[in-house]
Amino acid sequence: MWELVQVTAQYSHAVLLAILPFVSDFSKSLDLPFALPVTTNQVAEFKCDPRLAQAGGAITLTNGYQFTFLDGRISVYRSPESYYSLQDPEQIPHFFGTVKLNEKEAVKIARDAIKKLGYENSVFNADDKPLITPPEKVGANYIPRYRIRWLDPKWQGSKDGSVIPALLDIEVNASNRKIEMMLISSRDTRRPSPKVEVTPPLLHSNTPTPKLTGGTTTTAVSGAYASVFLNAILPQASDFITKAGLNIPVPLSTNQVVATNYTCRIMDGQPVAQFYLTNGDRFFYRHGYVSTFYAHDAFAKFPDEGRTEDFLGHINMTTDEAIALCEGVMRKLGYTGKFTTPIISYAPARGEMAFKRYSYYWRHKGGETEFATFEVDMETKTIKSIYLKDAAFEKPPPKVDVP
Amino acid sequence: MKTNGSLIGRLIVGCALACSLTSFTTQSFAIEGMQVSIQSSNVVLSWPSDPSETYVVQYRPSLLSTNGWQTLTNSLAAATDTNITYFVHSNSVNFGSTTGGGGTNSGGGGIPMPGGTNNVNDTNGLVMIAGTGFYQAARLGVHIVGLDNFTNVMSDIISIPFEVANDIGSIQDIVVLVDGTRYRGAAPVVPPGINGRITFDTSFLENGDHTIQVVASWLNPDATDLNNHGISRYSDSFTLSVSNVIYYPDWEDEIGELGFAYYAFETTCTNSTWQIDIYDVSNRLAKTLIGNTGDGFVETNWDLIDTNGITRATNDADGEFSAMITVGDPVTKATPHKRKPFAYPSQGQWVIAYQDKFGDCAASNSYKGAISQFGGIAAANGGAYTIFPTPGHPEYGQIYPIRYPFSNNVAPPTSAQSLADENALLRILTNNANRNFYYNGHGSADSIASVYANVISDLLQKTHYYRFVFLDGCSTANGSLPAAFGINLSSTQPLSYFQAHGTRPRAFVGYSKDVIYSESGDFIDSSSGLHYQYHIPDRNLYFLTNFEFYWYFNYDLTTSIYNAQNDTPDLRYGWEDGADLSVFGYDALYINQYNSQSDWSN
Repeated sequence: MWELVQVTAQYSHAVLLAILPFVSDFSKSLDLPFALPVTTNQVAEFKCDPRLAQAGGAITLTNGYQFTFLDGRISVYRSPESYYSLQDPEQIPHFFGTVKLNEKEAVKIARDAIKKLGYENSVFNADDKPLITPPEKVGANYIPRYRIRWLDPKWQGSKDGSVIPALLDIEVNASNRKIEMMLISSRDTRRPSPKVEVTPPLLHSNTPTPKLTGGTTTTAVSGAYASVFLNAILPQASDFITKAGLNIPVPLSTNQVVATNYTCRIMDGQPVAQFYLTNGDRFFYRHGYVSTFYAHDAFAKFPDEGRTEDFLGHINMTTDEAIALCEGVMRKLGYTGKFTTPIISYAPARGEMAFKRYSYYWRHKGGETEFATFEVDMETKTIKSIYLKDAAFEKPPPKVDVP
Repeated sequence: MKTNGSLIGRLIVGCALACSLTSFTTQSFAIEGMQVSIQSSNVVLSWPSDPSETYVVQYRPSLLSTNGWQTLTNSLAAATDTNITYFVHSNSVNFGSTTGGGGTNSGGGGIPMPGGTNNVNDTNGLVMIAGTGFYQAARLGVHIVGLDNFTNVMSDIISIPFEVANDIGSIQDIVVLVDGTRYRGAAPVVPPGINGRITFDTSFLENGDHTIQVVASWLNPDATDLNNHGISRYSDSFTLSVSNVIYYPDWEDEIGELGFAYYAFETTCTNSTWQIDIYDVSNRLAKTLIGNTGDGFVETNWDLIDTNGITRATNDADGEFSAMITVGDPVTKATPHKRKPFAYPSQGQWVIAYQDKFGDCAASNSYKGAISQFGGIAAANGGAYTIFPTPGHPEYGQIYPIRYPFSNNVAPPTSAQSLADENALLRILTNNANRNFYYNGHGSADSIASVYANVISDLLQKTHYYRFVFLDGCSTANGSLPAAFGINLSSTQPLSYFQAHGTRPRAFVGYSKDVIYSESGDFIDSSSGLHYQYHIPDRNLYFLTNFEFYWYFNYDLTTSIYNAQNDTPDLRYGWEDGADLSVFGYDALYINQYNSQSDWSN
């Protein structure tokens, strides 16, 4: 998450001065028709990037040209002649003109612009065939503009085609061969931010905020009660481990439990317990059953999550097989209801490697929250976490005759 | 035509139960195999059934509006050992009461009629008051009735009967999907009970085969039921073959602000003359447009100047026009009406609302901050408005946040408070100055929080459209919500589309599937003793913050979404982190583009 700064007038001005040379260089590369270098006198509006250590922002010049400088490079450029940046439809007839370029010529102009700006085609996947929007026809007239987009081949987002994952989006004027708009999104074009001498104050104080907020109050139990309760629930935990097919030696004994990290409390009038095994696995017990299990090497260990890059591997089972595995465990643990189709969650692949931890979320029909969640290692075909919340699993907790 | 699934009969019956011991009358509506009989004082219903089905049976004592349907059972399992299911309404036969003295019920009067008394004069001059009753039964789910009636090629407006039933909840909305997307030409009549009809205008479809499916939604009145807030059920799909001589898949309802009305239709009459006669609200001819078509495609504009040279649609009273298309021999067809929308404000404002669905999530403040930040960038681009809680007046409506009935750690709102919040949202949405809307909370294909699309649509009346709507919740892109806000599109469109139609560019963003917003789990912080059960992962707020950032800094809508996802670490499919967003309308919209009146006017 970004740390934000207070954008003071002094800081904003300093940032503007720092990025104007980039605007000038960009304008020179594309041979834009105004005086260079660009000075503050030519700036009509500046919106400063509020991110800490990221000198940037959006500039509108008095002649209507717009530039956005983010992450160390000009990322957005729009000329007053950009049809795709048009604000006033009364100006549409002004755009009517003759199409003097074919698609091939327009693409060449776009690739030439990439080169002029010092980029390699590879950062935009621009050696591949682009998505081309040809000049639009309005009545009998043409808007002589090609829109050329090179798409991210790794994109795995929306499948309905409504979000266009363009690494580079260029508008080429088919009448005069000018570039009228550029939207640069490729992360490979990012550069270090230019240095700014003014240090802005942080928007929020640098005092660390508590990681967790909210929460439900529980009440303490005596040490004796906690000890007896643990001994009473370990057989149930062993049964849970067996039915879930977890790779943990059973029966569990207190020797496997980290005594210093054992918590027993009263919540909503019922005893609850949280304990860690010596191998780092965590269990939670409530309403008379083991409600959650997190393996020490789980991706998601509520409320924390790991980094996706640490869980790459290969997929050796189908999602149907994983669902059957999880549903089988739930049946063994006492669930008798119908299973709905679970929501499946996973992360995008990284190159040849897949994200190997898939999470499966079961909701009751029309439900807002899950009654069961499983994390499955799709490479080793093993369960890494379980969360269960349904009356079918509940049992009376063991009686503890200790105050 | 092909049908999917089996039709086992429409189980709707209305029967009047008379006071006579030996005779009664049944009045039935499209009964398919339903039998009604009286055995002693019981009413016995029976019908052909499939063992896999579950049924709802309802009863009402009369058809008076004051007597609604009462559910006798909402979970009657079909008989498993036979193909006939029985339901017994015990002790429900009212054999009548006597007035004017004692006596026995033995008179031989006429047959009592439903809805009224049956005055039977017996030999002692006593008057017998008849009892009446009506029954209906339906399978749980959504079912098209009489699919065999749709095997022929269909034209113009047809009526599709259906039955809907759920074991809990009250029906809220019915949406018709054609080829997987919401269909603009279907107007379902939401039934008070379990049966209804869809008025389906085939003229908005291209000629050919289409897949039809009906979706019904119910709202669960039990606010304590955590697992069932809104429930949607889908019918089996079926194929409808359509052929019209005149049809208009690209029909534009709106008279755009560019000062012309756009007419587009197709006809099977190629190499033909065509004529469009346009009428005002008083049914006076305003203008006739004439032309020829070679390929059957017609696209033309009316400049709003009538036959007398007067410019029309200059005020709300003169803002609606009907038309009659004539082609060929001739063939004529009345078109839907076109409406002039309310004037766009000098500067479009923003409504920001969220539902307090995550107040009990650990570390939810950061996510609230991301929503608040949306208000910040909206404020800088037209002005952001919301309705905060009024201290000391919990009975007042609020939308920041909309109170959440399924809260785990604070008392759920009363139904009066929920209604107040719903009214507050509708009130602010209908303010003509508001033309942009960001909502974060629970959603479905046809609802946000507990507000349904048909309610929004009725209030905005196709005259108050929105320029930008982002409904940040489950499945909001899958139903009638975009159209409710005047964004009557189910795909992206280039600027030229809006130029041709004369309508202001607009865009809708929503999720195309149910998505997860919080992780459930159990964790006790041993130092504080606090227990945590829900948590919003950082990636959700990263995506939202990134989207706001890129849109604010001059990227267009679709590129902002792409960049926001790209910059979200640990993005995971299935979550409310942007991976399953859909965009309808003008996807190249940037944040304040076309957001003032002068940006799009003639």
